[in-house]
Amino acid sequence: MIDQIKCWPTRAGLGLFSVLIASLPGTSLLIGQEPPVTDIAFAPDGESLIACSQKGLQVFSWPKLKLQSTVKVSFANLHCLEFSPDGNQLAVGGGNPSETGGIEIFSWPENQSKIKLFHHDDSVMSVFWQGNHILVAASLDRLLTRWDLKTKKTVKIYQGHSRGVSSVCLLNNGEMVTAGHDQSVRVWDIESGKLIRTLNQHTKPINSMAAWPGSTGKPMVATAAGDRTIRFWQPTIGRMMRYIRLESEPLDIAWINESQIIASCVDGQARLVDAENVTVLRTLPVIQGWAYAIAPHPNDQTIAIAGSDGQIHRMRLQKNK
Amino acid sequence: MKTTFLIFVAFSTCLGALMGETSKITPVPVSEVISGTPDETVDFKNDLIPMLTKLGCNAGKCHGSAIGRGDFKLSLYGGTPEADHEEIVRKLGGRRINLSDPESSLIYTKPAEYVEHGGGTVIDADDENTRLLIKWIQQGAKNIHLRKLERIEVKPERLVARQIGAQTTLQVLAHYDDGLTRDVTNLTQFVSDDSSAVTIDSNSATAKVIRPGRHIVIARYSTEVVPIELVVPISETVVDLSTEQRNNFVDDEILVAIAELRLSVSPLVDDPTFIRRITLDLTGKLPEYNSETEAGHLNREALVDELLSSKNFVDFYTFKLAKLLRIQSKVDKNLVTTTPKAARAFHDWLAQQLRDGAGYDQMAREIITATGNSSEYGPATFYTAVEDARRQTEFATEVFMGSRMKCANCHNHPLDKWTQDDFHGLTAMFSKLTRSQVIRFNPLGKNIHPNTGEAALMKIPGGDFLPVDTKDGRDVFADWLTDRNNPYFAKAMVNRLWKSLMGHGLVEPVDDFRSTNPATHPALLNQLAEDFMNHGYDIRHTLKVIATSSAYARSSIPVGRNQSDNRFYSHMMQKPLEPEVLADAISDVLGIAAQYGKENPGTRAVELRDGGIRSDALDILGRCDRTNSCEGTPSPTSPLAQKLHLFNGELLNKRLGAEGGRLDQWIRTEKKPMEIVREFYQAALNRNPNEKEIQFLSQLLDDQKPSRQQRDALEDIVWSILTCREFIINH
Repeated sequence: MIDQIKCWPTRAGLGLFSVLIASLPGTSLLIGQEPPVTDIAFAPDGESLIACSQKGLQVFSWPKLKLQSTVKVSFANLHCLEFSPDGNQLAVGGGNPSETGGIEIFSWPENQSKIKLFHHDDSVMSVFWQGNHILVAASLDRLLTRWDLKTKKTVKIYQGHSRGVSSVCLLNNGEMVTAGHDQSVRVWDIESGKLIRTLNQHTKPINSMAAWPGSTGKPMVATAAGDRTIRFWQPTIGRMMRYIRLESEPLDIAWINESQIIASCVDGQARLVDAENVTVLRTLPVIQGWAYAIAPHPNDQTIAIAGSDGQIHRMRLQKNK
Repeated sequence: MKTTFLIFVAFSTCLGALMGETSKITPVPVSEVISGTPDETVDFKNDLIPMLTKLGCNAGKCHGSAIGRGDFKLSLYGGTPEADHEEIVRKLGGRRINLSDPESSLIYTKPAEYVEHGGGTVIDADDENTRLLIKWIQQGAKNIHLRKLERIEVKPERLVARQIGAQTTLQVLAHYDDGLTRDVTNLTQFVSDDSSAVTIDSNSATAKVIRPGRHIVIARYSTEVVPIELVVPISETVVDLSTEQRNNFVDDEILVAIAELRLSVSPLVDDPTFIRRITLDLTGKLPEYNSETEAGHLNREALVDELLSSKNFVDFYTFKLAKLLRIQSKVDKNLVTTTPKAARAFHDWLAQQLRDGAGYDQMAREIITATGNSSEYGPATFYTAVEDARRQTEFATEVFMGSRMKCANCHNHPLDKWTQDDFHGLTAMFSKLTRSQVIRFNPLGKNIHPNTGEAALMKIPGGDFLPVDTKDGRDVFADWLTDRNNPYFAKAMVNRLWKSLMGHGLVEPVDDFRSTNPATHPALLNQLAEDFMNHGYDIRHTLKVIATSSAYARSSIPVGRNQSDNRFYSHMMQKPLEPEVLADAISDVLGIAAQYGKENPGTRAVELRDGGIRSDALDILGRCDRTNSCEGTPSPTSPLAQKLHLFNGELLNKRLGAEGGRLDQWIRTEKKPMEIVREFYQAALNRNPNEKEIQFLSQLLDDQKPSRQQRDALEDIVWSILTCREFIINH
């Protein structure tokens, strides 16, 4: 394991973090021999990092990134991971392209397959838990499905996106927000399935969405899209508050605190963005290729980034002194 | 699959074998050529992209369309391989590629239709395309370019076969920058421009000609597109052209093509017909009838010289250039404004250039680099003809290069060499101009490149980017454009002059020069351009060369087997009079001038200094409104409204016997009716009525009829002359 630590100058004022980089996953990079890692998630205890790719689920120790186990999943392409709120279940979304899309639920930490849910005609790209027994899946077949795991049946189907749906999240007011390749952000009443509003400012497909972690004021989400922008929305009132255009297309975003968001981009770099002043605070080269997924550690100030050719890297956020 | 290096056995392949005849194709010196994939590694740009093109995956009607298809977008014909690689390998989490199980990759299962595919089954499990695709995925689906393509060589480039049904095998060799020459026939897409004339068997790379004539097949490999010309003579009988008159190089080249196609040639026209033809072509005006010319002793070259030095020539060719440059006033709050004063200033400037005998290169340079108040300095009006800098690029390249660069606004041109960088690089130059009545340099002006979202760098089309600190790039563009080695500028102009006299461009449409739209007579086009440049880009000189050729003097009446010829000049093409010329001709014959707006009475339509001057008559006759290109051939006889207007409208009927007109005056002079008719024949058709016509007309004109009836009959006859095909056509 190599630790290449670079110190970055800190930013006066707002940002309280400097960022340290990084560690390689343990083997030299073999381009074209490993499928890309499409999503990563930290285990609730923060001791493991789970990655998904065409190789299946891979469980790595954290922070050493040592491969601990590989778990086969029922479909070829895996696109998303999400732990249930109680941390006992891991939902994996994916599918066989242009054929089927579904979710497989594993027990954690046993990694035993418990439930397989197939409804879609194309891959599931995003899942979101609503409690420990209900989850929502967003698919490239343009539909969203809401599942009751007790009955293993769909309880609602949401139809409205004109192209594939890439991301879904729930707001604390009970509304559901989705984002898709039709460049739209849509707000739904999750219970009735009624589409409340559509927000259309993006000019290219939306890759990712992240709900603001703050608890005061109106709910906010950030979206990252092919138009190279990250846009900040107040979906309950249908307003785009601000946006920032990056030098490279962001593929995934994650909030690291209430005012900063970090993006993994097509150029393999991670960009730390001040969400209030919409400025890029730091740009860090991380992945050789596309950086598909980014995940902040639940407890310490580290971040995992994954992407092309099976790469997974570790970054450390350090409080400014 | 092991890569195969198939070294050709010396002279083993005789390409282009024709049914019933020996191929004239020179065999390729084989030791230099390899076929198949030359390396163990699959080259994404040189192997995969051409394969996708050949299969039609990246065509405009499939994934190459502007928005892609089925959420899968490829660049049109593989114009940007890097973007295609990302689309195939990276997008959507890399779901189209399965490195663990290549045959489960969506990029394979779709076209093989293991899963539903809107385009149907495109590849079979056991064909070479599948093997190449799977091998590439097995190797990691990498974006590898092992060498750079320099050019492709097509064999045969041109083929003259004896008879329909002839077949030829096509071969394409790719030459790369590392010296490798490779047979890429199996990766080349062949497309016939007319599938009813040439059919293609893509599996065997065989073209079969099923209709006589000259036909084009387009060969496309990677970014290179090359035309293949296939000719089958119209007749089986060889024609003897040894006695045909050859006045200059024009005739030599025209007769070569006619001999090849075994076309009959129409005879040369008599002097009256020639006089009407050349006078209309050079001055836009009907000739004054001269009975002496019927004796057949006309010095045609002297007449051409006389017409070229006339005021009418300046008026008419100013009008033609004004149409080309879209000179017209337009005042619209949403558009860039051209004031009437500016339109007239530009018109007058052009007229002065023609009067002075200025070279076309000088004119172009002044127009391109123009700045200042357009109402005072005419050439600046060039920058108010269209709304914005991108349209200016389309306009400038259409006018000065005869090239349609518009496609390259959104994607690399599918049939030409133009890239988006070319389009937006030239637009970047035009973006640095204010587009108001006063044209001035604006350092803040920029053109956002749609691919990068950043300001595009100035670039010469097909050439280099200009240094970043370049202020006004138009000087560099003008230098490049008017350089002797520029492949477009001189050819575009001589082609327009050729069409002006001969009725059909050597390249047609005249604003669509590209390698995939070759000239019917490439050697002639080259010679005309060379001659044009050697004579100081003198428009008059080139017009004279064409006008004094035998080809120009040929009758428009087909003979023998040349009736179907519409582009090899075995007979003269009949040209509809342009609307303005027709309107003037009617006025001249009737002896009553038309009124155009507030222009001085007697102003001719071709003399109008502003194309925006209102005239319902000209509009109905088909006047081009100059908002867009006016390159199309006018067709005043085809649309019903135009024809009805000519037959029944006020343009003719209100003026036929109007007081003070030619008919009215001659009736008052108590000329005999047949004499009056004869005068009208001479004025309108530059000839006397023939015996058959006299016999028919005599029945209508009875000297004993009351004067009112006599007048009605004469009006009817004049109406007939002015609506007959012979009058409204230059033949």
